[in-house]
Amino acid sequence: MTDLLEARDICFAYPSVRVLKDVSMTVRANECHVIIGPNGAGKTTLFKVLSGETLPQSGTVRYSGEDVTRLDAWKRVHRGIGRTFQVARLFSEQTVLNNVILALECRENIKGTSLGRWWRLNPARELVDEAMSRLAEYGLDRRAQDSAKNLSHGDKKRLELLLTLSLHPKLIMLDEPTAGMAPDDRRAVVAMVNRLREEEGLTLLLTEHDMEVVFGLATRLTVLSQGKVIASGEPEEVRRDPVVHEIYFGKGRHHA
Amino acid sequence: MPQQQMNPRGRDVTPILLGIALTVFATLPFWAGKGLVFLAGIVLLQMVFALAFNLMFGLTGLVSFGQAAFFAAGAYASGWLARMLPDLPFFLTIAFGGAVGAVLSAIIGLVALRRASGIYFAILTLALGQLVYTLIGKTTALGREDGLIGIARPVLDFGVFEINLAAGDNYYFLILTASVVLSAILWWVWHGNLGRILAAIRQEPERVRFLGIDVRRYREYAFIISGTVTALAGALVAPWSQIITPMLAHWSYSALPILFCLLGGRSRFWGPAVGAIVFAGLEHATRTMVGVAELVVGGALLIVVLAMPGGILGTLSALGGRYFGTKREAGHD
Ligand SMILES: Nc1ncnc2c1ncn2[C@@H]1O[C@H](COP(=O)(O)OP(=O)(O)O)[C@@H](O)[C@H]1O
Ligand SMILES: [Mg+2]
Repeated sequence: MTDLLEARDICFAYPSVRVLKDVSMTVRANECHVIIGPNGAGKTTLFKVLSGETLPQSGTVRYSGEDVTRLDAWKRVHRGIGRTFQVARLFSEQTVLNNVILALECRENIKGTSLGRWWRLNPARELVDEAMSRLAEYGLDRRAQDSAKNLSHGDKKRLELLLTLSLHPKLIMLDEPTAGMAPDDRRAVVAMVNRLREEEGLTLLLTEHDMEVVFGLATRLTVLSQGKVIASGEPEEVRRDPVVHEIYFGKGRHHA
Repeated sequence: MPQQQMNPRGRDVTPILLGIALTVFATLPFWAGKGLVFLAGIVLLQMVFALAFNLMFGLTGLVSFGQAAFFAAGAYASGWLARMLPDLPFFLTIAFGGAVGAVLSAIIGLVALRRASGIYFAILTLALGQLVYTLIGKTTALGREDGLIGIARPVLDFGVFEINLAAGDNYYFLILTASVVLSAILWWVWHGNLGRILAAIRQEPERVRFLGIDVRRYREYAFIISGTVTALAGALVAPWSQIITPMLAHWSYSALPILFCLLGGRSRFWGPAVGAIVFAGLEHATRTMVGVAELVVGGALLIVVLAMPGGILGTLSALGGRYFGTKREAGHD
């Protein structure tokens, strides 16, 4: 398997606190790589650096062999990286349907087709239909006309994932996709992520707290603690690692 | 059906108000006095000014505090060119005003949009606007503090026929036509694909960025469209008022469209137009009450801002929607 995304010696600090200390990790094509670690370990910050939301003070990020360390986030999106946020970011004043249509219009805009031209008054019929069928696929079609802000927490996460997937990314980064979800919804996310990886060939990078979810979908695990990678490898291998056990599992399985 | 849902225009009062306003403006010269017609011409151009400003404020979510610089740039550029080359076709002098506005807004946008977070953008545009104000006041070719006077209303030559803009109410009707056309362009931008993306940027810029959109470039587009249309309105005002002074670029003039937007409602396209008309109406009605005028205008603004968060148009539409039994969501339209 080839490396799709590679972070090397990433250091990142906010003015008052060093968050990432020489973090190195790789994401191979078609794997589901899960980053675990206590709250405040720096997982979200690492996502920000990998996706281009912020720039690291030192270190490099390579995607498909290209150095993208200083590349604008939107250009990384064009190259096939998609991401969601720990707290879903949606166009909350708009309907669920309009959220999806907007994502599709952005996609057409990127592709430069006539469907995404700025002078288009109404979204193209094709895009509206596509949006509806996508919503149906994700079980959100009944909420199509509701305002996005009225969705449940789980549905918001699902809708944001749908928006991200609309752009047909190769790699998607999901920041705590099951946080705040009921157990049934969590299992649905596990099934969906596995389907995306196995059937659509996507590569996934996740952060996750729920151990049932983690071991339900991870093909590889990286453990982050206080801004450092303390272990990385096959899930079972990591689970047996005494250092990880001490720092992470040692505090009990109900860690969240 | 879903297309209507994209722009839920529903059955609100806006089309009715729009019809009334257009009728009044179009027939005004036939029943109103000269003073009122002159005021109406100014109000029309201030409406365009405010609608263009609101493309940044209400739609994209950025307060440009130096918008008057573009209005003044358009007025001065076309006024200056008309004096230098009196034989140049009128439309070219107006277009020149628009072009100068486009270039100026592109430059100011490049600087100010580096810090697109709320207050920085407001302060940067304010500072750059005041810079334009100072430059105009110190440029001899532009008449320094005295400004430019006696800007002619020329004759439009269409080959087979000509229209003398200096005669009768011809120039007023030119302003009316231009205001309709410029408003239509802004309406299109607001309600179309570009407007949808700009509204999305206002709501959740990071999400838009991660949908692959260069957010800064889109803000720059909005800023340039806004600045260009504002400059065109400014270019049209010069032959109407026949005198232009640096005060057109002063920051207090930049505050005007903000007032109109708050008064009329910034989340609807036509809100600022309602604000401009109401504001002018209040000023006109209280013009003889020395000392009381500001109090009335200020009081009215205070009431609207405190009691009607959606502005006059937002409140009217909500009431109208209730009356007609249609629910209307406050969307980006
Ligand atoms: N905007 C910020 N400014 C300053 N410190 C921050 C900011 N965001 C996060 N931090 C700090 O960075 C550390 C890592 O945060 P984060 O990456 O969100 O951790 P995780 O996602 O693993 O819970 C924490 O100590 C947090 O307090
Ligand atoms: Mg986090």
